[in-house]
Amino acid sequence: MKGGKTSRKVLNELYARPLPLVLSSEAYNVTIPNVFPHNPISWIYLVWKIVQINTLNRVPQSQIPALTVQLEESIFKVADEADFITLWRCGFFGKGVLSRSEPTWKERSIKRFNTVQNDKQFSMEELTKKRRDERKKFKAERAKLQELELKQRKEELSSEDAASLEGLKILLSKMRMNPSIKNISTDDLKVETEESELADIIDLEYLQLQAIETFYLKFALNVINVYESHLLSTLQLFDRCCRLSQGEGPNNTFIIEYSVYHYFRSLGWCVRSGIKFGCDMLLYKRGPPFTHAEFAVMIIPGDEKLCRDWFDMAAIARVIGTVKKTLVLAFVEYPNRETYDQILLSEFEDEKEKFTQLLGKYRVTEILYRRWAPGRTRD
Amino acid sequence: MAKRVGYLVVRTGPQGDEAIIPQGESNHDIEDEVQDWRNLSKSLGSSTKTQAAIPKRGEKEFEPDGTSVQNRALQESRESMYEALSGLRGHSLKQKLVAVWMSDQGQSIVVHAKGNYFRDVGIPVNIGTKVRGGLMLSPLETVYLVERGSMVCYLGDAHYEQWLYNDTKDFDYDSLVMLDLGFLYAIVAETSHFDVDQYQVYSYLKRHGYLILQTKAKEQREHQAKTINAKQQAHKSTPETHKSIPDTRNLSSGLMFLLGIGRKLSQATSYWGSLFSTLIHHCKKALVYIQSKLISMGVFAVPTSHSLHYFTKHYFNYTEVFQSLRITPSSAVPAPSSTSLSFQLVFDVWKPTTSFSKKSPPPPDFQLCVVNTDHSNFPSLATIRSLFEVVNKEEPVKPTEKKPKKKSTLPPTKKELKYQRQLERQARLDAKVQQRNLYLKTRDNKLKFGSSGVNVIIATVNQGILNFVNLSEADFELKEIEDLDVIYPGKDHGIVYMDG
Amino acid sequence: MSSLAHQVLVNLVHYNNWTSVESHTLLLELTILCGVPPATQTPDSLGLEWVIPRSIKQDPNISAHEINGWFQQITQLSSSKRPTRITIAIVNDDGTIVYYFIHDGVVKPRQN
Repeated sequence: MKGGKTSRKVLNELYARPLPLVLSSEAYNVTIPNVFPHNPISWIYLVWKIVQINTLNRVPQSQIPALTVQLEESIFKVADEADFITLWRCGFFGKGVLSRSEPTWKERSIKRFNTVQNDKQFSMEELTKKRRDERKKFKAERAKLQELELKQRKEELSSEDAASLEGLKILLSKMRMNPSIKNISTDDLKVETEESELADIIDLEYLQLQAIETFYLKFALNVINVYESHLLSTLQLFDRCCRLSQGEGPNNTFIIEYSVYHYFRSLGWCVRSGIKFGCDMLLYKRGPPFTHAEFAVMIIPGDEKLCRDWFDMAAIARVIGTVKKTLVLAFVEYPNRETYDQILLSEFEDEKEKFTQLLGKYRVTEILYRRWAPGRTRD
Repeated sequence: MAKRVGYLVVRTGPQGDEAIIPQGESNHDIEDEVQDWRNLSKSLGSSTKTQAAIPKRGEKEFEPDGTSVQNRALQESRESMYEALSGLRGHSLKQKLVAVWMSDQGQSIVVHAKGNYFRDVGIPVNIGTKVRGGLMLSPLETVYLVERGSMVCYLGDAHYEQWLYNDTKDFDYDSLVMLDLGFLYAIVAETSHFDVDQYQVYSYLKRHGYLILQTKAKEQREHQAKTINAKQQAHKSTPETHKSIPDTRNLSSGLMFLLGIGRKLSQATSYWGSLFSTLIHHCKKALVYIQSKLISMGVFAVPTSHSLHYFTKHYFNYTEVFQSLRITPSSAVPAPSSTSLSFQLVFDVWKPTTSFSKKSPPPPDFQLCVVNTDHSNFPSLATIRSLFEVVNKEEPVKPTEKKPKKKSTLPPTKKELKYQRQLERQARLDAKVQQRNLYLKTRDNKLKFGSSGVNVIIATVNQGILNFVNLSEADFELKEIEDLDVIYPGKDHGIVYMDG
Repeated sequence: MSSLAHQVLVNLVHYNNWTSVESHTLLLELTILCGVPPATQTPDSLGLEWVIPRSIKQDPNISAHEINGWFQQITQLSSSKRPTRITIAIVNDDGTIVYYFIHDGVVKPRQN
């Protein structure tokens, strides 16, 4: 994170797990020994270790209770603070409804109402506010400059004006060079409030999960329970998710999106919504606090009749280009209706098997899209 | 298509102010701006060409400010344009380049090809003893050279053809109709397969200095050049002279054969060495594989496709968790259906280079399709795949690194200094860290620019406005990438998360 | 009030710190919100902004006719002159809300 002083090490500790799954090595503080090909003892030691762990220790994940997700009025909510911290910290799932991503509303409110002092960490939202204020100041100064420049053009500039014109030019170039965001104090963020408001900052915020995130946490990882007055099975959840999106059958938006989401998640990417950049998804190497997203994904169902328009593509690519991301087109080939229905209707011993089979019929193909500027590739 | 609605939509920030567009965007393209002709007259006006400075761009004018400054600027620019256009243009008699449009061939012939234009233009043609080293020019090439004022084009007639195949000496070109641009456009469009969209792309890239050959048309035109050679026999004017020219093809293939033997000999000595290193490489791969298999042999685990899998299996790193999450597509995916015919490779394009031979060109740097936005949509996956199938897979020749010219008197730029410092810092690091950094860098490049290097450029033409899109084959699973296997053999390169 | 409108309302009040936010539920499941943003930009109308909540899952094609309908509804609601602009709040399924102004006709571009 730029601007913050959080070191890499702190981040690595805070976000140590890329998924909300606990490894045996972490739970029991064991490591799997290295094997040396010329040393048979190392092989025996390895086998011994594996047998030992498998017989003496329970798998840690089997002892961790499932997190609770509520489906209310088409929104997947995680209300429990501990649960949403787990989901955010371990793989950056969901979004605080009153925050930009990490649920920090409560903290921010406390800070805003000045109930807690001496906190030097600034949330992303606070930094943005500061940056906007600074930009406003810059614009005010620039307006002054432009007014003087107009006078100059009309040849009405007095010597006094000329001096302030020069002064403004220097000031503006300074402002352009070093924005002072780094040194903000908590004072800048304080808001004058009535005493009475201080008492009751209630927890209004909950974590909202996307349908694809919810399904991933249930179907692929099985770390959540989803309730809608009663506990939903994976099949029931699938049904709800499909109904929340457009289309029906093998190419409904939900399953098409999910196949792409699952594909990139299984390759270790942190996948988040791309709505702010006009695309479907953003891919982060580790997660938002570590680096900016390097890739923007646009999903295209592999349907011959649904070709994209050149103009839409150019518009999206332009936006993605200006924020220095690479645009990835994810084409999804999907099964026909018959295969789709057949798998959904047939009996499986386990629900995960059914959807593993179904998703095996979807194939994601990536194509990179970038503008070519002939003027810049000559040498 | 642009939707004409009387509402203006503006993205707003959460504070009710309008969003800020990032400053200093890298995508800024001077091509997107309207040309200011004043810059031209400024550079023309300077006494010598070497002094011509690069025109500087100013801030964009924002709105009328009540003064006449902007109006005056506009007027000046306009006058500069007229001045530039009214400049005297012509052909010097000595260097006059002449082409004759042959309507029945759909191309033009240049009997005396001189000047610097033909490195990538024209197909050689010989006719009898008269035409040696003549060139046949395609419609695109003909129009381009005439349009840029480098060549004069006449309309061929029976007299001319007669002269071409017979032994009479001079030809009076004034007896032919000289084609002005308008006439040329019309006659080319009438008598050949002239594609205006392709022409716009061709001339745009040529003006940027690129070298271009027409991909598909090449064979066709070689065939036509042959028909001309055949035609001369019909005219029966001169005896065969072909045999006097030694068959260079056979000579060169013999040379290649000798060279090949030499290479094979030198390869044999290093053969055992490389065999040994491949062996080690495979051993390493097998070892990593066996180790991972052993680890994953959880005694009580249920398979990955079972909901209780993560409750029953011990995991020791996240790489394996990610691997267990992967769903491999089954083969039942429908086969690609018909592909669009409007997407055809039409141009092979090379970056400007001094060493270029159109006879045996190196693998192209870029390969282009040209489509019109009115007639085609963005291609389907099947179409893109079929294009990837036909593009050249050979790596373009990398320009040989220029030897540093005389010691530059200029101090190194900031960028150079930064790069230098980066290299030094890198060199000080632990060998393992260096290796890791190299791995990450290589991997990122494979992700960002495509793992196979296969790509195609689609030029879209919208009523004369050009836009170029590069589509590259990508595979985020990074399967079988040699460059990465060399650094970390047996690693699953597609998993971007790195266990610590 | 619909769940969608409620989401936007909560976001305006607690995320963007708007004040005096009110909702007007009209026929055809249309709820229009109005309120005052912290940094008021339009000097002409006391800073009151009108917001139309919309889900990303809804039909993405909005007709000019529909937009004109919103302007008319708001004119009636506020029983004053037609607003110069409204704000559309697009709600994503992860709870992100992006806001866009829709101006009633062409306006002078703002210098960035």
